[in-house]
Amino acid sequence: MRMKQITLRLLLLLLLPFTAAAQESFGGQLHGNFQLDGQWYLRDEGIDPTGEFYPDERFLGQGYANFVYTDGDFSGGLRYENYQNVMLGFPEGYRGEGITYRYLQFKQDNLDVTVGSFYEQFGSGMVFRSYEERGLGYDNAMDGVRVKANLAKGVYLKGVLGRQRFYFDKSPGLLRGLDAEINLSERWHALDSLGLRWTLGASYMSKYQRANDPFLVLPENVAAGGVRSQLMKGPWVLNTEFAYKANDPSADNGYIYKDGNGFIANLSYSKNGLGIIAGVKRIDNMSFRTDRNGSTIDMLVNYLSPTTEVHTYALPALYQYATQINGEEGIQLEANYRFKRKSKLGGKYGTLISINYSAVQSIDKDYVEASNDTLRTLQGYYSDPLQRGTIPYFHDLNFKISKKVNTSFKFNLTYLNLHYNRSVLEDGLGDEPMLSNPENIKTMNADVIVLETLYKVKSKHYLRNEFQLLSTQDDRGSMAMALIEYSIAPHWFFSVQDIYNYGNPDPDQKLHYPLASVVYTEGTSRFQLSYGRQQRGIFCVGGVCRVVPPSNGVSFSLTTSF
Amino acid sequence: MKNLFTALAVTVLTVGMQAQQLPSTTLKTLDGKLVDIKDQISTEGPTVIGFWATWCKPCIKELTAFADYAIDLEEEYGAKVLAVSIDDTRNSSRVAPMVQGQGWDYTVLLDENQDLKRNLGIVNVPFTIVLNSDGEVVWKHSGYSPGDEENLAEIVAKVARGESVEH
Amino acid sequence: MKHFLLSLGMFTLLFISPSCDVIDQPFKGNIQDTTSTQQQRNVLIEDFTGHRCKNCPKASKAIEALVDAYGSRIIGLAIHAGPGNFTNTNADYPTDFTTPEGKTIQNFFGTNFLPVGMVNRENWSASGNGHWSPYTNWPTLSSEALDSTLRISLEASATVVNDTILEVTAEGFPQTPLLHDLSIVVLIKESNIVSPQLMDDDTRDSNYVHMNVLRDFVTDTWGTSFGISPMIPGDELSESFTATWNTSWIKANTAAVVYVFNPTNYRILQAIEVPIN
Repeated sequence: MRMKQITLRLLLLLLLPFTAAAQESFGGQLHGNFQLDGQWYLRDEGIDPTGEFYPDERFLGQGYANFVYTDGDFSGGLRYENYQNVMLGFPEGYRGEGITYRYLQFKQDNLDVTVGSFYEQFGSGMVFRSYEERGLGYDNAMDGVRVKANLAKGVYLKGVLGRQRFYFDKSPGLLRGLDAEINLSERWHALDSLGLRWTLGASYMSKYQRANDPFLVLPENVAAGGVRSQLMKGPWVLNTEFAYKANDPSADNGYIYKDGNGFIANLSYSKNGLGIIAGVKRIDNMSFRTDRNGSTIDMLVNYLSPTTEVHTYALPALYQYATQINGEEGIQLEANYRFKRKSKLGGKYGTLISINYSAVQSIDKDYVEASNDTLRTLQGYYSDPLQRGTIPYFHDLNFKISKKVNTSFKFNLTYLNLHYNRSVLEDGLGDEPMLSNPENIKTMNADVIVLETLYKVKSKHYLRNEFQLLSTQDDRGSMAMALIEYSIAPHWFFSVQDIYNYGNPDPDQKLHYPLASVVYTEGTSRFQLSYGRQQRGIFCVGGVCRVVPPSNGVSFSLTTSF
Repeated sequence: MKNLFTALAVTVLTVGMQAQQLPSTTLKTLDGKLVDIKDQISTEGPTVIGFWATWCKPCIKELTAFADYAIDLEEEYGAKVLAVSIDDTRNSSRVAPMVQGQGWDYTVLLDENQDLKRNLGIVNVPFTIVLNSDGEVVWKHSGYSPGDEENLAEIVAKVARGESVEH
Repeated sequence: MKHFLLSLGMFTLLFISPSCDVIDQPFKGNIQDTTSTQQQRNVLIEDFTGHRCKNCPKASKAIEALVDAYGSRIIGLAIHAGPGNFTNTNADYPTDFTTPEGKTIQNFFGTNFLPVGMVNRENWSASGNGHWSPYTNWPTLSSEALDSTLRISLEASATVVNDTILEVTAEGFPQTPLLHDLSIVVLIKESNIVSPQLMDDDTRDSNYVHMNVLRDFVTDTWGTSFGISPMIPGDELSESFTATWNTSWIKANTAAVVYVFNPTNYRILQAIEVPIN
C-alpha cells in the first residue's frame, strides 16, 4: 500500500506542472482512455429457473481509466481499475479497486528501458507473452524491469525480469528471460540483393517458485526456450518456431514430470489479389504459469494461439475453439481471392471469395499407468510426434463470398461446417477417459449459413441485415438469428436482433434471446445502451472450464479516449 | 484518491487543448523495414490513419468502404491514407495475404508491439484519426458504422481546405 | 565491438538464470512422525465439492493421502456447494448433500468452480483470491500449517442424548497472547456414505464412498463469540452447545468438528475433531 502511495504521488508531481502550463507547449502530451460498463440484471425464470446465476447485487458495474504521458524520449502512465462488483462472465478474481498498472519508460538511441508494469512478447508467444485482452478480463502484465537494446545493426535484444499480475496481487513465482533477434538481411547485404529478408530469433524464459510439498520433490526453477525463423522473398513468407519446456509438474497437467514442446510453421503467399496461408501446429504439455497451481487464465507465462478462425457472427461464435494447452495438433488453410473489377466473375466492383479450413485433434499419447511406473519418474505419458492423435477436437470449413452489387447494395454470404468436441471444450475431459470410452464422447456437428446485406437508404443512412441459420441435432439444437441495424453516420446507431433456439430438444428451452441496442458516438466517445437476454456460454482452458452465465437485463457501456 | 483524479482531470482538460502531434514511434512495413510514423505522414495534405487488425471485421469493412473515397482524396488534395495494423507478431504474417485479398491500395504499417496504439491511448479498433498537413491531430473517431466512410471523406476534404472540423 | 560484447555479457548475466531443475526422482522419502503428546496446530481443509463434479474425487483423494501421512492432524470437510450443474440432484444422483450454511460459505468466499478448497482459511482479503487453492496445493499448504506455532489448544466432547439432542462442550486454552477476538464454530460431519458420484472418466460410480460430508452446523454459519481480546496463557474459555440430532445419520460414522477463528480475517487458529458418543 505504501509503495502504491509513493508511486502515485511521484506521478502526480510529474504531471501537476502541466496543469498550469495550458498555453505553453512543453512538448509533452497526455493521452488516455476511460471505460465504464454496468448492467442491471432482471430475474428471468426461462433461462435461470433456480436463480443461481442471478446476482445478489442486482447491479454490477466496473470501469477503468488509462493515462499515458509522453514527452520526447520519456513516457509514463498508469491504470486504475475498479469492480463494484465484477460483471457476470468475467473472471471472479477481479474484486475491489486500485492502481493495477504503472510504469516509467525511457528511450534513447538504441536503448529502451521500462520500470514498473509492461507487456512484452518473445516471437509468437510460445515461450513468453504478457498481454491484456480487456474484453475477456485477461491480463498477465509483468511488474519489474524490461530492457530493449539494438546492439548492432539488425541485432535486437530484450531482457525481462519481474512477477506477473494476479488480479490485485502478484504471482508467487518470478520470471527472468532473454530474447535475441537478428535480422540477417540488415547485416548481410548479399541476402538483401537476392530479395531475401531473413530474421532469426531465440528466446529463453525461466521461472522460480518456492516448493514445499511433503510428498514430491518439485522443481523450483523451470526453464523454457525457443528458436524461430522468418524468411520473406517477394510474395512468400515462411515462419517457423520451435519451443521446449523442462519438467513442470502443475495443476494443469496433473503433476507429471514430462517435458513439453511446441512447433508452429506458417507459409503464406500474397500477390495479385490472391492471398494464401497454410499453417501447422503441434503442442505437447506446454502449460507454463508462474504459479504451478494456477488455473483457467491466471498467471500464464506463454500464449498458444488457437489457429482457428475467430468468428464474429453470433451463431458460429457460440462454438468457438479454445487452445488445449496440455496437447493438441492442427492445421489451418486459408485462401482469399479478389476477382478484379470489370472482370467476368468480378462484376462492376469486384468480388471477394474466401475459403478457410482448420482442424485440431489430440496428440499421440501412450499413458504410463501408475502401476507400470516402476521407475517412479511420474512421466505421465510418452508422445510420438510422427504419430497422429486419434481424437478430433474441432474442425471448421467455411466459404465466403463478398460482393458489391451497386452503389447502394452489398452482401456477404457465408457457409460453415463445424465439428465441435463438447467433451473437451465444454466438460474439460482429458484424453485418457476419451480413449478408453470413445462412445461416450459428446460432439456437435453443425451447418451454418449467414447472409449479411447492406443497403444505402440515402446519404449517411444505412440499413444492415443479418440472417443466420445454425442447423444441428446436437447440444441445444438448431437456432436461427435475425438482425436489423440502422445507422445514421456519424452519430447514431440502432439495432434489434433475436436468436430463436427453435430446435432445442427440451420444449421449455425453445426460447427467444432478443437484444436491442442504441449507440451514440461523438468523436472518440461512445455510449451504448442495450436490453436483452443472453444465452450461457462456456469455455475451457487446460481442463478447467468457466461458465459465462445466462443473463437478462439492461446494460450500458461508456468509452472515451483523449 | 479523489485528489489524484481532480488533478488528472484538470491536467487532461488543459493539456488536451493543445494541438497534438504524433509521438515518434517505430513501425514495420510489410517488407520488414523499420520506419518512424512521423516520416510516413503527408506533408502536402491531410493524413488519415486507420487502426485495424486482421481479426476486426468492422475495421476491414471501414477500410474497404473507404477505399473508393481514398483514391479521389489522394488525387485531389495530396492526402495520404495509412492503414496501421495492431496485429501482434503471431498474426502479422496474415496481414499481407489479407491486404492482397481485399485489394487495398493503402500504405500498410505494422504496430506489432502496439506501441503507437498505446501511446495514443487507443484501446479499441477501429479507430481513425485525421492529421492536417502540419502533422497535427485534428479529428478522431472510434468505431465504425456504415456511412462513417462518407463522413470521413467530408472531414478530410474540409481539413484539406483549411476549414475547422468538430467531432 | 568491445562495447557490443560488454553489453551482451552484462545482459546475459543479468537475465539468465543458470539453473533449471531437472528432477529424476520425484518422490520424497517417508514422512517423519510428527505427533507428540502435546496438542499441535491442526489443519482444516474445506473441500468444495459436488456429486456431479467429475474432477472432485481427485480432491477427496488428496485429503485421504494427507490423512494417511499426518493422521488426525488433518481434518477434512467436504462442503457440497457451488454451481448447480455439479451439486443439483436428479434421477441418477438423488441425494441432496447441500446445506444452507455450506452455500453461505461458498457464496461469501467467492468460489464458483469445483473442485477448490481453503486450508485453514489463510490469506483471505476483501480483494483477491489468495484464500482459494486447488487440491494440488493442499499438501504444501498443509505442511506449512502443521509446522506453525499453535496459538490456542482446544478440547471438546460431544454426546447424543435420547437420540434427539446433541450436546457439545468446548474448551480453549490460549498458548500465546491473543490480541483479537475469537469466534467458535461447531459442526457435524459424516463419513462412509455410499451414494453415486460422477468420476473423472465420465462414468457414474453408484457405490462411491463419500467421506467427511458436512451434515449440519451446530452453531450459526459464522459461529458465536468465544473470547474477547486480550487473552493470555492461563485463561480458560468454555462454551456449550445443543442441536437437534438427525437419526438418519449413523453415529459411528459421524464426528463433531470444532474450530476457532479470527472474525476479522477468518483465519482458523485451531481445529479439532471429536467422535460423537
